[in-house]
Amino acid sequence: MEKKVIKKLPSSKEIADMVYEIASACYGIKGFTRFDSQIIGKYEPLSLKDIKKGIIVRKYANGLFSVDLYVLLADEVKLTETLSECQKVVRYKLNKQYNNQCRHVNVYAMSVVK
Amino acid sequence: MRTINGQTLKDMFISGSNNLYNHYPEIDALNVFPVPDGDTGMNMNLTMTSGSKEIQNRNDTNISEIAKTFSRGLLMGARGNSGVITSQIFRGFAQGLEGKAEIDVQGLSDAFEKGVEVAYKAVIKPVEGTILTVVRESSAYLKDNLNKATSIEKAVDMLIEEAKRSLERTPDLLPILKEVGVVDSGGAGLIAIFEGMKRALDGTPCERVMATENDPKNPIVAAGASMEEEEFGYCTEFIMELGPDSVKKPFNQKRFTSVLLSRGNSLVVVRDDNIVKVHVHTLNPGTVLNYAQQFGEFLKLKIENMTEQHHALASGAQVEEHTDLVPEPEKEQPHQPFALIAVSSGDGIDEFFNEIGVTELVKGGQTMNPSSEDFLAAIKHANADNIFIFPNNSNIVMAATQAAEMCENDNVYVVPSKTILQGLSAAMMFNPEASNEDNLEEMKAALKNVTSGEVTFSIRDTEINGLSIKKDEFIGIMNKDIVVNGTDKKEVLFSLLSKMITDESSLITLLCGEDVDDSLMEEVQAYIEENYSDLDVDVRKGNQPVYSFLVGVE
Repeated sequence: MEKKVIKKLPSSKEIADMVYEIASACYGIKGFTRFDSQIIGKYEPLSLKDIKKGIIVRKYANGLFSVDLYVLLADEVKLTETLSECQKVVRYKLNKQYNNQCRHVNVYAMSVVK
Repeated sequence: MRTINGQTLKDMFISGSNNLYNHYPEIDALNVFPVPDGDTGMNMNLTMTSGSKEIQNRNDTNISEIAKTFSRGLLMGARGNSGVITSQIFRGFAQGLEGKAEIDVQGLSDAFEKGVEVAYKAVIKPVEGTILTVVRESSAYLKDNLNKATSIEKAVDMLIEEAKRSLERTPDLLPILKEVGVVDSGGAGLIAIFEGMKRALDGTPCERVMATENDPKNPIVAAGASMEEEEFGYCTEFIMELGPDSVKKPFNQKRFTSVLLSRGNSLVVVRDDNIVKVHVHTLNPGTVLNYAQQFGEFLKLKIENMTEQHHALASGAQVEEHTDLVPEPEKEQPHQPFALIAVSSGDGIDEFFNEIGVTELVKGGQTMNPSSEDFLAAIKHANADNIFIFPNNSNIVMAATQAAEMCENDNVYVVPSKTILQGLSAAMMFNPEASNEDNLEEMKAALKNVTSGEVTFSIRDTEINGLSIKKDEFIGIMNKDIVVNGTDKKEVLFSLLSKMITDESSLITLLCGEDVDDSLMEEVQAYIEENYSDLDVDVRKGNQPVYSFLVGVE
């Protein structure tokens, strides 16, 4: 019987770069931010050079990985649909690229920006 | 026409929404991924319908108020990516009409321009070759080509003509469209809306006709007058005596009611000792009767064609009142400590869920999109202290999560199942004696153990993942990727299984669709048992539409 082949993953940076490209094109996503448990209220967008702090890649010993995105959403879009679509597209494209080794994608809506 | 006011705009919006409804299956078929469950048309349709409902009873002549109300309806009812973008286009459109009672052709152009501006603002990197391009290019064309002599009708004609040209260019901008040989589905949906709006200006507004898809390969669209949903189908009433136990299945009223609710509406079920009285409106009385006969024998039966009754009433004919077999209203669902709610897509799947203790079923699957309101209704009907929901589709998880957050009960949990097979596996792990947290943990763990696969047919020629697929060929999908194709669905299933099963596999669950007859099902079962004799096998008739086979490997 065929065995699923686990490919060696590229670096976290490469995965995060890909996630950034995909999520930036998702409708309703206006930016990325860094999660900070001390912050209560509005989150500020990350600058381009710090953008990857809003995308956390975790790798597991069994060759799988997961992704957490901390995003800022556009004003007056339907939040549930926007988050769901972003999660769907990121996961789909990551699994296509990396042989279904993406374990899960979490998208956290941190703030809404005008 | 030189100006339009609120009432004209209302007619335009409603006509646009109706035209989109009449064409949404064609728009769904343009979806890039060649699985016949594309939802762009349906999502845009649901979004526009939400907007239309908001303005249906408004009599404002103020164009700004109508546009604002419509926009709010779109925002609340937005479904999917295409629905969200549509809501933003018309949100900007409404902003462009702010403070105005009526507008001329320049005002119309300015409003569309504002719509484009707002729509583009809601994304970091807009993707060209989509609905965004179509609305931008058509709006820009209108702005550049109108003059003081242009009528409103002519302006909308110009908008539509350029939108169509823009749509034809979308494959040049988006490689995936060119690869599969289609234009952008969102753009096509927008054109359907614009064309409906133009019909209203011409004095022939679009009405909804029945976009019924009895056969996904050959969708049937009934022309003619629209009909009220309640008057369509068969009014089916019967009284049956339960048993005898030696040959009939044991009767569980809750499960029986759940299954019948998935097959019809206006349901009343009353039990009096070993007599059960049923009243239901259904499109398929035969399946209702076949199901019921598993539990007893009929004492009285009556089936009336409500469609014919409606026609007779409409033509002024006398209609005989039917004998009142309707029993007393069902007593309220007794309060219970636990309830499981699942989204299902076939009556066989309904039964499977019922067997494992799922008592509430929400209609769903790939071609429908149950809303948060549907889940809220199911939560309320469940009448339980602790509730677990299985969405069974990645598109539905969000709606279920939103419903769980909106309801007053804090003990409503969503198990994020993405397929029917995942949901079945997870639901089986439910333990009424464990805590909610333990149950949730066990059920989530069960999701990860299931590899899901589907066999269905391609709706167009396409090249994808290195496979060359012809229209109507069967395709095997594993974890959302097409991995095999062929002309024989049975062979495609066997190839798919060979890719899904590993050395660690121990169980195969197979649900056969409505297009699979008993002999094929037996043949497939025999093959699996012979070739995978080390594994446990469960083959059932799911009767789901669109997918010949749904497979789960654990």
